[in-house]
Amino acid sequence: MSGRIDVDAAIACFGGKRDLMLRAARAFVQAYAELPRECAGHAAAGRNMELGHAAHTIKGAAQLLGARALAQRAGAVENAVRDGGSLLGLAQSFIVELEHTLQDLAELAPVTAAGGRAELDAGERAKAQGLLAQAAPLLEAADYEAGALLDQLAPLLEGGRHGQRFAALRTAFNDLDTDTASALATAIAADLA
Amino acid sequence: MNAVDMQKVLVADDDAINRQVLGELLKPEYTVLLAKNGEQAIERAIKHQPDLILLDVMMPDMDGYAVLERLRADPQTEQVAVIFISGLGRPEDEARGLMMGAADYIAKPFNPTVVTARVATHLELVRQRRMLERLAHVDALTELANRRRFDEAYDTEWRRARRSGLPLSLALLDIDCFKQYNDQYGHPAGDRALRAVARCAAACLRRSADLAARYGGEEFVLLIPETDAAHAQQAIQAIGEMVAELAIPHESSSVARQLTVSIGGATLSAGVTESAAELLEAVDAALYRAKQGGRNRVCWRGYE
Repeated sequence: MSGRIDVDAAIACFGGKRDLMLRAARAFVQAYAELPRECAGHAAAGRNMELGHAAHTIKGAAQLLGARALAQRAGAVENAVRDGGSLLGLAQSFIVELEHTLQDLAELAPVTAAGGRAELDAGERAKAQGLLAQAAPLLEAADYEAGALLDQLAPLLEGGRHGQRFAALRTAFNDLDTDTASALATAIAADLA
Repeated sequence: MNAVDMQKVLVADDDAINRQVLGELLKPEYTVLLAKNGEQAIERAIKHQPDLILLDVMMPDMDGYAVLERLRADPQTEQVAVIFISGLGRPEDEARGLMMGAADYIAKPFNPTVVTARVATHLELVRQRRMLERLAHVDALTELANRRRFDEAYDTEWRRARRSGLPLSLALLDIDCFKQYNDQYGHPAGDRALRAVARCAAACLRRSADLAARYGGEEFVLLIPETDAAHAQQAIQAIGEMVAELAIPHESSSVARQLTVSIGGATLSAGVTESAAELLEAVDAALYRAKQGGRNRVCWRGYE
């Protein structure tokens, strides 16, 4: 247990894989960094449906990440929106808990600096090309296995000449924009040739 | 189990973290495909024909119930098994999903062990159903398609040919003097001969739409869509030649000292009004002429 986060419960949800849980925590922080501000805007403008939807999304992820208090408050907002009840106090409590949880998760799973190589030698280029060739059809099919190939490519491409496009590729795959992801993989492979 | 044999699971959830957790849980055993909304789920279900879909109920563009309704309305996806995964934990939500035809309903937060166990159970059911379907359409002795499978395929292809105006070729193959073969060499040898001829037929009809089926006894039927008479006869002739190359001894045959086949065929051509039954009758008549003409030959309507 670490503050708001029940780390052991979270790791159990990820099949006992601590690395995976930390990656998910990083993804959560990146994906929802702006959400407290957006939710505050929804609450102030009375956009209850939008607030309810955000709460529903957060509830599921919070449960998986061991953020019980956040899951509970998100659930309370979701129920109130669905049942047409009052959001007085609930929205604010949810938003504050979300802000604190984001801070705790950011401390638990800090973003590490990219350690890629500026220039690749011939062997590394060939390895990267091979991995990109394998990844392209998997990216196009939205096959989860593509993520493992991107993990293998990260030390070769992050922070280097292709770092920016590789980051865009990762974002496209995470967003399941499969056409863009596949096209970027093909373009990077062509550049490496 | 290699990648070709791996069953496919489509995870449709708008939350990237849920997709990641489910992907990690399932990837050791299955090919895991991802979708982030209802439209992607339907598109990928049609394109990749998954064995199972894990479907989030609440998604922004289209909820899981609407996705399931569309899957069930499309013949390409109506059979796919669906498990709802949802944060809506009320009994009425679960009941609604199950009444709509979902195979199961898992409430979030889910337990990884329970999810993998339930997925495994449903995929085993899918595997068994597919095996039974396959067995229902396969001839046990020759492992070719059976008569039922042929009847279905013939009906489909005949209609397609009438719509498209493309030719449809059909042939019947009969092993010459097969009763005498069984009498002389015994039924186990007869079964081996049937299997050998079946392998020749399957080897010569290699396009995915072509179909070689056991029609009954020592008769096989050969369905060759989108193929004119000249090209169909080439494929059919090749079967006869392949059987001859096997040189299976048949001392009691009145035709040759080895196993031979007679084949009759006909082609449905554009603009000709002929029912499926009439085309089959024409093929049967061509086979009769091949036998009457001395066996070990191909007779094709309009080419004799």
